[in-house]
Amino acid sequence: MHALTFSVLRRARALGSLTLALCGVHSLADTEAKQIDAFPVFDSYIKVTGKSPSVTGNPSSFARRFQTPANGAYGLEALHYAKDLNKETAIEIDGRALSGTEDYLGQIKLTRNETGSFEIGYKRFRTFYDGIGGFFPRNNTWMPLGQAELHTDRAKFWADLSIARPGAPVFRLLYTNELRNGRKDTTIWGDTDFTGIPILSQSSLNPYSAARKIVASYIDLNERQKVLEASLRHTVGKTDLELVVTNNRTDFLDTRYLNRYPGELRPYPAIPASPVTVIPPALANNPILGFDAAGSKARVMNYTGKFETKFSDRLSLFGGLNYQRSTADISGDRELTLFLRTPFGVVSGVGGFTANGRPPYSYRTDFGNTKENIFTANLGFAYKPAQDLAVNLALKRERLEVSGVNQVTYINNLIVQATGVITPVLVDAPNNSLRNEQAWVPELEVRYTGIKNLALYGTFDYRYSPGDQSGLSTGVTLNAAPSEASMSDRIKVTQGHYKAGANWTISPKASVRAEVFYKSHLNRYTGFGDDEGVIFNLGYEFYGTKLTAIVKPAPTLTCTTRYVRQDGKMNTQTDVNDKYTSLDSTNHLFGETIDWTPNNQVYVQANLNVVFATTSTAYPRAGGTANDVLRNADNNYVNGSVVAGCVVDKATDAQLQYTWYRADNFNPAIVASQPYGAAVKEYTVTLALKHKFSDRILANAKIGYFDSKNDTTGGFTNFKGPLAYVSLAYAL
Amino acid sequence: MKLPLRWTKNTVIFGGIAAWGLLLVSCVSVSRTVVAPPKIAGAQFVGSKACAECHDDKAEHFAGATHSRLALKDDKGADISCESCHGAGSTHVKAGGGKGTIVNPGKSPETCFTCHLDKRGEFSLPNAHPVNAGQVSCSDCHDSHKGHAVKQSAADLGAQTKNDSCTKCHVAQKGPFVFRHNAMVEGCTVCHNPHGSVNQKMLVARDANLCLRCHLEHPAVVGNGTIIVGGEDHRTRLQGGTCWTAGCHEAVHGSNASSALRY
Repeated sequence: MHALTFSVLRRARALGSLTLALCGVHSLADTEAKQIDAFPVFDSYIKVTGKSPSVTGNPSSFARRFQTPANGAYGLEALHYAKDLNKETAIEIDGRALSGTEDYLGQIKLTRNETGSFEIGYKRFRTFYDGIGGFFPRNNTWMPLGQAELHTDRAKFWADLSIARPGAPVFRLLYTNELRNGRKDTTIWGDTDFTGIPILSQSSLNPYSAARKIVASYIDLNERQKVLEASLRHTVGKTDLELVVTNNRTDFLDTRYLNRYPGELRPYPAIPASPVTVIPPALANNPILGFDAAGSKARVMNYTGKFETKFSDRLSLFGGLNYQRSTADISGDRELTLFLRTPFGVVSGVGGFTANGRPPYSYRTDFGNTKENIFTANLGFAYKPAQDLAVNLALKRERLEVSGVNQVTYINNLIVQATGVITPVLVDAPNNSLRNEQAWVPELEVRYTGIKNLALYGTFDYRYSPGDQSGLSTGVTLNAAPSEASMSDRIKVTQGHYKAGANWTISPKASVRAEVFYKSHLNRYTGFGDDEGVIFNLGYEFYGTKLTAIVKPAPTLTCTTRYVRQDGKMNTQTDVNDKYTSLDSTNHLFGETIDWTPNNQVYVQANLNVVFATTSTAYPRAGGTANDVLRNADNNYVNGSVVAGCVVDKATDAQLQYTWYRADNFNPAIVASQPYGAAVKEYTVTLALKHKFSDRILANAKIGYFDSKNDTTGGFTNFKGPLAYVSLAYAL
Repeated sequence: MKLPLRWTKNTVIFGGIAAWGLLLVSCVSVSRTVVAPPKIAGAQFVGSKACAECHDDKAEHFAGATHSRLALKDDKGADISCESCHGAGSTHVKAGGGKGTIVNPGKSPETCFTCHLDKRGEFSLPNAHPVNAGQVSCSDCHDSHKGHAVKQSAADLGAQTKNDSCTKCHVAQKGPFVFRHNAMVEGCTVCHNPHGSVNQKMLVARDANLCLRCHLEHPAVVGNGTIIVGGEDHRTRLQGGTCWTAGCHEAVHGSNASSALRY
């Protein structure tokens, strides 16, 4: 990692030096430049654009990384039109229509002085995914999805009316209708035995299972959310009042597709354990194919009333009440078909059971609903006992009640392999839960600015939330019988957050900001009734420091440095197990930005982030072969950029940019499990020109090159190639 | 792996136009200032009072905002809180407002990155919200003008649930579920870094360590080669993949049918 970092730095330094040398030639002679050649700022304009990459390698991974399809994009990048219709009324129109990225915007806003405004608009954009699964290096196993590019679209329509007449209450009515649909990947990957690990018919001779869950998977999204919000704000005397009523309706049905052991089928009859035989991986398991759909139609009503009374410049009182009630009809079907070999051929059935493995668990939802009631009230004051001292103290009371009922029917097929006889079995499975919590949340903030050039602050908040939960969960056994599990817990949640910081302006050339933070949570679940004595406690504490220094060694040079360190520990305790440290983590984050403006016609900005982050749980304390299953999770990376811009001539500016990113956490040594850990090397370099053709026409042109290498996916998602971009802006 | 390089027709066209633009440059003296974003070329500080004259709705609550703790002032002691994020305002004031004369952090994250350098790095990672692409802005989740910067304060009346900032867009994860995942009580950020991660789905850990942080239990004997979760040894199960892969605990955000969050 260190060698890698220094290598990157050397290259960045060389490039930065070259950039400075190139740009400085022109600009040094023009240090007294005025603004007579400044580019015009258009009040109203239209901007058309086209960009196209030439991707060599994995096009869908390129699309995901750059959020641009490999075929590029073109169209209307921006339209802005602003005009005063008369002395009192102004109109603003914004638009965008980019084909390829499917990025669209249409927005009109009317504003009338001392009356209000009305805005209506539609926005849509696309997010790209590459649909990859995992990679297993033993035999270069890589199982891509059939689709080249996956994407989801987010769209939003809104209408916003605001009436604000002098002295009258401000009324606002807002309606939004949001949509999210499309297909994206998921990390709920399926299994395969095609991993190159031999499977012996005698299980005791198998040191490691051959199965690895690396088969790509995807999910179809179909989500809609409508919100209608009405609000009223008014000032009566010294008191600001606010009333808000919100009606939120959501309707979604998301379907996840599972594909387990594709292309495999166990032999029949099973290969005997003796003599020991290596089973061909293609015969190691039974394919399971199907979907898991989950949906909900929910309605949430929210009522809020707030006030703030300013008794004086030093004291104000604030508070409010909020009530939220939500009801939802839940739905969801899970149908997984298992394929099984018999003497009479291959049979299949939804939720097939065998004696040789877990059932795929298939069910249909008969009916289900959830209800949620939340009542919240708060009261606080803001007090300035002295000119330089401010104290804010608030207390919140929250009462939460959540209940849910879901009746499902498990779908099974009992299959006798010897005869091929299939017997359908349906199992009714009721599920329900009820949870109550009543929380008290005090919060305190103190600020002091009485010391010259120094601002001090501290905050504290604490959440104490006792309650209880109960419920019944019904599953099925391997023999297609219902299996009920109940729970009855007393809940006690305590969460404390503490923070103190300072902003010290040492001189006009240097300032320092520092903050220390600490948070401590403890979640206790203690069984009662049938679960008497069952305990699960989870506690954790995180603490750390944030430091920022801004130094200006010269009027043309600013260095901003940021360092963040965070350490964390978590522990668990159960009724049968002692307290145990379940997490030990350390994060170091170093960031540096250098802004150098040697004169008015050149600027250079360099950014660097170096992160060392380690998450340690079971390793290395687990011992034995368990240490081959899991190692620490490292999220180390370094990324940065150098951007240099300069004036080229009266009508042209240039900008050169170089970005890079490296992560080196790949650990192929863990053959028993998966070689987890991100390991990527990538860079981009672009050269851009901005040119003024006339006072009404500005053009941008950019050419570049990108390169991405990904060891985590065995190189199967690598991509590289050139990139070109052109745009033309015309003043209306 | 060697990959052949190829050029598409569009790249040749757009690249040709860009190359033609490069040839346009000539060396003459110029009177124009260029600055790195998000600065406003040629603008001077005017102080926050000037901003409040038109933007009173933003200024009136700023005293209680997280960012006001910094009490930012210029060399003469004047409050420049507004211009610390929006850039020097003289050009904007002179023009009587308007786009292009002031920095709008709601449109570009560059202003926020000026101090939050680490977030620039995180949003540049392969797994991040599309903030750098301009589809999502910092202000979608953070309110810098009043109250806590994160739109969920401990005693804030508006924060009924800890995850409102996330679930306003990710409605399917909102619940409530018949069987909740208690991690959702701690908040989405327990498992996801919303600013960006080296791992897919912005996960803070790519493998079973993610779950074991809260679920790893004391073994019968420390170092006996077991990984205890829920009272059972999960060593062999973890060989196959993560805790949430197919056939295991798939319903990571909550389940309506399985208290063990199997599906």
